[in-house]
Amino acid sequence: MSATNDGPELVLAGTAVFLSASIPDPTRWTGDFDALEIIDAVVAVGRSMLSAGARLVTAAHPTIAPLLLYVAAELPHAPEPRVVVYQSGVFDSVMPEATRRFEADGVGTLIRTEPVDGEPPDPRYAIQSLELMRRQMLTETQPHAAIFVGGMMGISLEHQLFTELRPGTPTYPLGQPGGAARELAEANTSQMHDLLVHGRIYPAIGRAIVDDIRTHRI
Amino acid sequence: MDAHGYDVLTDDALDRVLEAVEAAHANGLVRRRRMLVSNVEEAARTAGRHCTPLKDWMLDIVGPAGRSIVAVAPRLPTAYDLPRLDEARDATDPTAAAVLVHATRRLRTHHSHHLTWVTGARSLALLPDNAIGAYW
Repeated sequence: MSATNDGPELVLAGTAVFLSASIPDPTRWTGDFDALEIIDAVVAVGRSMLSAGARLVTAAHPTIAPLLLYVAAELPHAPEPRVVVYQSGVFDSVMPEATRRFEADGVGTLIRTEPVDGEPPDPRYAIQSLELMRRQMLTETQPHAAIFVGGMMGISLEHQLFTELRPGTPTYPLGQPGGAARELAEANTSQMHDLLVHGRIYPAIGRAIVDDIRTHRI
Repeated sequence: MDAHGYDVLTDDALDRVLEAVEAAHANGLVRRRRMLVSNVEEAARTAGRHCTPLKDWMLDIVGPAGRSIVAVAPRLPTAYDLPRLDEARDATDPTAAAVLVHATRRLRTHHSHHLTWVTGARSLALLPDNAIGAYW
């Protein structure tokens, strides 16, 4: 057997990529979305970034962070954690056990940001705590690119904040899974517009994003 | 209610839950297979290769460097995947390369040794799906 077990070349080593994603809550989001497509896209694109050597930065959405940490755990051991998860202290009581476990295994790093006094552990009402967490996350990690999948209002806020704090840095919203990222994809004016809006082969989109980030970094 | 005071599902309800879990699992495997095949096809076409779908989720890929028969495993590759691929290659073109693309990014050493032993002298290649872009 001429087994080819080598992974891809680590062309994004030393690069931080912000991944903003969530599965919309149907009680708070009336637009179209497909939860399975969001999961497929997050797993495939996250895997592409990590396989290329990038470090993923993400907020601790309870349905997304454990997925990314699981994907990172499949890859060969790295000297430093591959996924950096930011979590506002306002959600201390609702942190998924899986997220803590991956940190204990050295797969990811959890960074807790200060809660704002008086806000409850509910994303609808923890406005200031989330704003503080997002700003600290993007300021400290200085991502070289951002990817957006699914989501609701928080995705648009993170896109807006990212473009404010990291002007000129490429953004890659995916349209097909739906959610708030679809509108961002339609408004995206990059050369990858058609692929981002219509593409459904998420591993291929991931490869194209890796190539594009690499081009921006050279 | 059981002896510990917990509510328990009736047999009918338990059957319905199991059916729903099995259906979701089957759908998930089909989605992963479809994504793997589409991913290989897209990478090969982008690299200028000609792709023909074969039965059983396989592809016949032809390019300047030669011909490959590609099968996919949306999970850990097993010994059972190898004869299927080998037979498809022999039936299509015995001189073609045979590649099994699998969804396991890191094969454990003992598993890799087992597959090597099963393969024997046959020319079969294993490729993790996150290395597809670099292969074609």
